[in-house]
This record gives sequence, C-alpha cells and structure tokens, in this order.
Amino acid sequence: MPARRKTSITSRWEWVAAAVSALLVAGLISLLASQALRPRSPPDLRVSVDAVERRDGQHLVRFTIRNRGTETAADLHVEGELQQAGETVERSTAVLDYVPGGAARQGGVFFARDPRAYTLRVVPRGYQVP
Amino acid sequence: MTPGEAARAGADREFLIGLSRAFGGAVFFSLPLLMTMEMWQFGFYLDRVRIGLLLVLILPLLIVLARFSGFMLTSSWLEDVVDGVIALGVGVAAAATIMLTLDLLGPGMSLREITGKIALQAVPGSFGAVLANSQFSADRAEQRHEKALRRRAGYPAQLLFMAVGAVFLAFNIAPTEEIVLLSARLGPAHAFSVLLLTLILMHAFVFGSRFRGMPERPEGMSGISLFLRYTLVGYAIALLVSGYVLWTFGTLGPQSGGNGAVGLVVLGLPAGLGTAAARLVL
Repeated sequence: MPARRKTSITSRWEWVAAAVSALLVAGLISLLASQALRPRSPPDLRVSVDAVERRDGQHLVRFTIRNRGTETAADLHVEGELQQAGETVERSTAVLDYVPGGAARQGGVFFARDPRAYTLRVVPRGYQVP
Repeated sequence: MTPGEAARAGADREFLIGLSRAFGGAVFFSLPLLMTMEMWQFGFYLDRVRIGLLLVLILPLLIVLARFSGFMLTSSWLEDVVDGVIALGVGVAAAATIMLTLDLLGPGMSLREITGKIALQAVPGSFGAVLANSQFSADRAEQRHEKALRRRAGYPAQLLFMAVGAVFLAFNIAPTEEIVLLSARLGPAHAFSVLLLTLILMHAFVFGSRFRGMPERPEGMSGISLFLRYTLVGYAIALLVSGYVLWTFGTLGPQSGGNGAVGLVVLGLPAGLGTAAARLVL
C-alpha cells in the first residue's frame, strides 16, 4: 500500500533538524553548566577614560567601565573628579542601569573646567544587586 | 450595470471588508507594544540597519502566513506576495494611527524618530493584519479551506508556523527592561530550571495538539520521535529567534557579558510557548 507508507515515512530532513536542534540546546546547557561551575564573585569594576572633548562650552569625559566579576552591578553610580594639589575642585556623576558580569558599558561625565589642566579621576561609587 | 461590473463591485467590497478586518487585527495585535514605553525610545536610538533587516526578514514570514491564513482567499503565490506586502502596509497604517492618537508621533520629532518608531511598531501589527482572517473572520467556508490547507502543510511549513509564533511572542517581550533585569538576577541553576520547564510545557502543547489532528501522528510514531522532531526543534527555533530579537534590540551582543546565555533562556520561555501554541492557534 504505497499511500499508507507515505504517511508513516519521516523525511531525512526532519532528523537533520532534530540533530541540529539537539546540538544547539546541548551547547546552551553546557554554557550554563560552565557558568555554574565558575565561582561567583562580586562586581569588580575598572574604569578607563576613552576621550576628553569640548562640547558646547563644557568638557565631556567619555569612559568605559568593565565588570570583571561574575555578578551584575545595577544602578551603578560613577563619579568623575577633577583634583588639584589633592583638593577636589569639581565633581560630576553618571548612573549606569546595568553592568553585567564580564561585560562593559560606556558613559560620560561633563565638567565646566578643562580636565586636561587637572588630575582626572573616574571611579565607581556604589551599586545595587539587581 | 453589466454582470462584469457587478462582479467587480462585489470583489471590491470583499477586499475592503478584508482590509478593514486586517486593520482591526493589526491594532489588536500591536496595542500591547504600542503602549510599551521602551518601544518609543527604541524608535530613535536603534541601529537603522537592524530595523531595516527586521522588515526584510518579516516579509517572507508574512507571505507564507498569507498563503495559509491570509485575509483574502488566495490561489496563487503572486497573490500571497501582494497580501504579505499589504499586511506590512496595514501594520504601518495601524501603528501610525494609534501613535498619532496617543501623541507619540507629532510635530517637533525628527524624521529619524518617526520612521524608526513606525517601522518597529509595524511588525506586530502586520502579523495581526495577516492573522485577522483566521481569528475574526465570519466566513466559515474560507476558514475551512485554509484550515484544510494548514492541516496538509508539510514539515517545513510547520516549522515556519513555529517561527511565526516565536517571533510574535519574543518581539512582544524582548524590548522590555524586565528581560535585562531577569537575566541579571538569574543564576545558572535557575536558568537551567527555566530551560527544563520550557521544554516540559512545550511538549505538553505538542502532545496536546496531536488530539486536534495536527500534527497527524502517523502509526508507530513514538513519544520520543515527537519530542525530537517537534518539541526540541521548536525549542531550537525559539532560541534562534530569541537571539535574533535580542540582538535587534541590542540586549544581546559581544558586550552583554556572561548572562547572554541566561537572557536567551529567559526569552526562550515565551518564544518556546509561542512556537508550540502557534500550531494550535494557527
């Protein structure tokens, strides 16, 4: 009965699709497993200044903040300071929503004074656990 | 009026009814996202290439959907292509109308913002436009015809239905802040439970849909075969679609860090249920 055989035969491509899917899901599971085995560490934040540029009479300091820990820092407050002879002459802050573990985010702080004439410090001040 | 003119007037009337039904479907399907704050911001800051690519990729899905449940009873592929394009157009019109009414579009906005907003919001609406027929139509004969067509659809068409379900649900949830928050909160153990729960729920859907005759389970097809060919493949489609949608919204990328995989699993829950349910609903 050729008609009946046709309905019960599965195309080879269905098994190819199943095999590719199994690989994909197994890959995802092993990725999660490798993350589970890695020890958890609190956010470890490093700031690097990318550029200092003039914008409409202000000075913009663009920075990249990298989280080398595994946990996410949420509502991260980043403070920029201009110092002269150990005294802070100007402060500016930025808030970043999320900096996930192992990820980097960019932001900027504005100053009225030219940061190039002072000692510039951009430091993380605080975050919350999401 | 000659008989020819009368027939044309009838066809015009039929088309206008189909079009207004499509418009209703577009509004119905796109309202949740039209009233989602994140979507208004994405309109202006999202990469133009990604918005364009989204529209290019959505069109073939709409065309195939039009084949199986378009708002007109079509007989040729050319008509389905036309239907798909019209559905996208209706999506644009519905999005623009609602956003104008809600004062989300107006003077003082840049062209970039306006086009970005409309293009993004047109996506869910265009699905609504093309699906309006199977959901709202009173034309039983047309529904029966398309239902029969869908029932006879082969494996590739079934995978496509699954992809449509995944795109629709993933697209509705991916732009929200909640996805970022959940993937930041969830550890690998929780993510793994989400993955497991998704597969169980999806298999329940696949197994349940069997009783509605779709897919018709051939003699001797075991539960494992059903799991591998529908549930697992459906989940893989859901993950791929989730990854694509997250990439489009910029949530997933080289800078997303270790929780990119978790984000995929989190969005994979609604997208996976979308793939499984699409075959029941469509």
